[in-house]
Amino acid sequence: MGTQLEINRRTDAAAQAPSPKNGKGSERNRREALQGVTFMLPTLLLLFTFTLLPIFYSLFLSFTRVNLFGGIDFQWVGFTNYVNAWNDDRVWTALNNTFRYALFVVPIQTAVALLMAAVLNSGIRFQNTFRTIYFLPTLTSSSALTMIFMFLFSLNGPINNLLVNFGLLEAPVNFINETDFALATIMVMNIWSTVPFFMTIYLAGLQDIPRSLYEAASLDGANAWQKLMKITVPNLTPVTNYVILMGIIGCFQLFDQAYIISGGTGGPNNATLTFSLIIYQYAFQTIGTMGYASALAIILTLIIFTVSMLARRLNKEESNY
Amino acid sequence: MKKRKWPRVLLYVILVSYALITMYPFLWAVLASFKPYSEIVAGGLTLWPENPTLANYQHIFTNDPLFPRWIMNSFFIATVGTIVNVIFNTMAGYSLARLRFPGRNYLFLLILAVMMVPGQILLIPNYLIMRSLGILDTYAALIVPGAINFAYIFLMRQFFINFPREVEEAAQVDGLNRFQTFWRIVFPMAKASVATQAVFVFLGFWNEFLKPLLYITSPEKYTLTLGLQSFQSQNATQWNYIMAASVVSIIPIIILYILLNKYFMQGLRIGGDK
Amino acid sequence: MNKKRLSLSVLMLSSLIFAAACGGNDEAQVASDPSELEGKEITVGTWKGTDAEVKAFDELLAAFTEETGINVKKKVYNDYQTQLQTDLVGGTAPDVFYVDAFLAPELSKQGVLEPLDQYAEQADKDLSDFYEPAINAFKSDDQLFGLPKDYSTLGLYYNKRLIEEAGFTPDDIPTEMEQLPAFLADLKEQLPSGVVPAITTSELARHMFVLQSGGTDVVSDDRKAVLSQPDQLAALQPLVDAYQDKLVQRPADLGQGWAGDSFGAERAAIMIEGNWAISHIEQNFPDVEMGTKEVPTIGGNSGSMMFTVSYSLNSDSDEKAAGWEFINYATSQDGMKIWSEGAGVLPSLKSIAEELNLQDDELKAPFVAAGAYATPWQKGDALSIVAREYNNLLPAALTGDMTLEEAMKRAEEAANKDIETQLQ
Repeated sequence: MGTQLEINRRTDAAAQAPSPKNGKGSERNRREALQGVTFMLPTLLLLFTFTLLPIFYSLFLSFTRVNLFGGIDFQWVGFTNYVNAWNDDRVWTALNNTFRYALFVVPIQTAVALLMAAVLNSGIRFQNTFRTIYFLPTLTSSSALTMIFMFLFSLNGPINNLLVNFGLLEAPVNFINETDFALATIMVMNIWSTVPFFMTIYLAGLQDIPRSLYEAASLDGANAWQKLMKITVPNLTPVTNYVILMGIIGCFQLFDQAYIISGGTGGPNNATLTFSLIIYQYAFQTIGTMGYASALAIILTLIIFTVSMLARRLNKEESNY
Repeated sequence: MKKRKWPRVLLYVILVSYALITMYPFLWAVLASFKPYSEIVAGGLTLWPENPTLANYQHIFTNDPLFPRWIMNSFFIATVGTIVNVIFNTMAGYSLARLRFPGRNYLFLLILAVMMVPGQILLIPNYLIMRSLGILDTYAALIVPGAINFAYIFLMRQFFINFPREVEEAAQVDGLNRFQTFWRIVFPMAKASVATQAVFVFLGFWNEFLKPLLYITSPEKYTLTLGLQSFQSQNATQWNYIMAASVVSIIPIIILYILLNKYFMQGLRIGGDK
Repeated sequence: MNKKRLSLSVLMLSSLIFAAACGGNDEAQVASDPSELEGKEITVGTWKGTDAEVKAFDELLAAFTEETGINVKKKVYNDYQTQLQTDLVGGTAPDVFYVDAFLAPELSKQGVLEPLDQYAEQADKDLSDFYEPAINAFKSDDQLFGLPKDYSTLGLYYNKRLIEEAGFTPDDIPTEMEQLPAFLADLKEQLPSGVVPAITTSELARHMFVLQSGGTDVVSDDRKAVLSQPDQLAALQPLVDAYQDKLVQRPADLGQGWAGDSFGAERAAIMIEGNWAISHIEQNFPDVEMGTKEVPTIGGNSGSMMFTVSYSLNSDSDEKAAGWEFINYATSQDGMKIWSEGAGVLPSLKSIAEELNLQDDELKAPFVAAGAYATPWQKGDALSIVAREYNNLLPAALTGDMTLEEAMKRAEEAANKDIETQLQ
């Protein structure tokens, strides 16, 4: 934990760099602290009641075997649930799937979102029209989407037709039901449906970059690519941090598509078994295993936290030179 | 000033092809709402309905007399929820980015961490809390716990980190206190990000399904998503109704998006724009 | 693993979250005089069915209120499993609710269902009129935890037009499973391209009777998953072969969500499905001419699956007597008739099936017949885990990634490990 806090402080140092703080006396600091807490008050209150309390409750359940129905029937089992998770092959498979998934999806969706946002912001014609069209996937209901994708990727579907016609495939592939392809299909679906959200975020971020920077660069003879890499990307670092972190959280918590495609089993042969799916299985599909589900949820939280902090550090360092 | 330009043609090719990829499933869903069930599931990927029909819409509008009520409920909840969210999230994001107070970094990390807890596990404890507070089956059950959103607090923090300090300093020189500065200067200048946040928060409330499902039991308090869900029966999904229902439910979002459109591309352009 | 109750202090910590625990009262609370119950109100938890079912249910409620003076509030679940569990934990569950036989053992083990034996005894309820597999699905440890409101079975559907245009008659469809692949192969030759001979959903809920046809149950008496015994593999292998020869496909292969849609869209000539597909096809695919038969026999024995749902009494209910009155009425001859006639479902009472002449109903007869021999979809509290692993690994065998034996061994192993660590 210690190192992660340090990373965070270092990240935040950038934010505070131009602050006129030194030598202003403690009265001012005290007032600012009070203002800071006041601004946070609604958040703190709701955070405690509706998030921390349930998390503590789950943390507590994770050390028990529990029957939540009717009366209270806890059985304190110490770290048994955590030990079981360590010995559970399915957990490792899910972890492996989830990591592969995130490693593929996060960089692609971030890059595509940034690129599309930059293009949209480059003063092209029909900017508003394109932006509105690109926003549409966020509006399409997820059940309708899943159904459309099932057609698109089915044996007689257009994706197969296209690939076979271009000679990329010899015979149609059953994308959704074959062990080697099921996860990849979900990846494509997910990228398609999350890019618009992140692109919109990037667009908002782009509005905050002063025009003068680009004009100065133009005077120096920089081309579009150079401007993108030297001005846009570095200035968007906080937004990129956001996009990457939210992407990681989304990937590690992937549930909907995996659930729908596999009917809740994580099949074929565990190919679409994700961590969240396992948690759901023990929380709601088998009765009386809420303790184990809670332990898995705590483990997943720690994993996402670690991965996110590593990613944050990487991104920070890359854009620092 | 325009020395070198993007290769425009290539640019438009990319833009148009991406637009097609994006449009296709959306259009498919919209047009499917005018098809009879048999045509939808036949696996035909033709967009245009062979036997166009309004029967699906007729069914969802007339099946339940409470339908207009559900729309009102959804509107009320999403509107109130969005206003509260935008204020609270922006305040919190601003505080985390700009105001120094003890424990701020820990609090920020905590907010990051709680976003990472898988939601499935919090359903039951949250339900128990709602019950203890006595707000089950009320609008409050949907609005109060959702009055803040960690993802957008985080987003606003990221935006405010790059916010030019000179603006606030100038405001303070003019004698505005912190709250006045926030309301009169910072908030209006963050229009682009606030509008973005507002659209997605509204979308979130409007499409929220699990919470109304668990917390609302009286049909007259149903939200639209919950009401529309009742077209689904245990054994088979009536895709035709689902498609029509989802078209009906996205119309308000599109209207909101168009209304807020001008704010999206209008952030602070310090310096060069004057 | 020390089995000790938690100290009071820890319980206090979570006391905000918990209200009172339930008080256990083992006595059946049958009202000595039914008129005492007049004016009471109970809640009945259901899930959403077809439009016809909704209408029939409302009629049933009205008739019940008229008969007894007890008012009923409906609580309709959209996501039954999640919502019911949340309700049960929160103490907000209805007095009477639907229980899928599949879940009954898990729920009764957790003590949330009231045993009905005493109620039935005091009310002189005739339990012998229920189809035996249906009522047995709700018995565990010699106690009865629900009375079946109706049931469904599997049968064979065929598309008359496709069969006839291929030059066959419905009578050519074999009545023995052993001859089915050969027939499907002949049929395949004659069918237009893009139409598969047969379609079926590949999951344990549809296959359990096949796996058990050699006499080996999928869950043993000591609660272990048993999926890879030679007789089980032998019974299942023909399906795998037929799949690989493209004689049988799954709906997802064709891009549909379930077999009823593939069949309705005329992408498949034959399917094995539950009787719920009848109303679905009639409503959504009015042009399709279908016929039904019993599932072909395996080794000369008739077989099918039975899916049944009960009305069960919440053990935490304050209105158990009134709740029982509802269960009693809904499963009486009067109530059952209103329900099954209106909803078009199969009544769980033999007498009503006869009264409605369902054995002569052209489409429903094969499903009614199966009521006598079908295997209930229920096998104790380990079944959800066993089914999960079976459904997870069978596709790997179907597509040829693994042999059937490998896949089933693996499913068995994974399920057993999970049963051992997770179920007490």
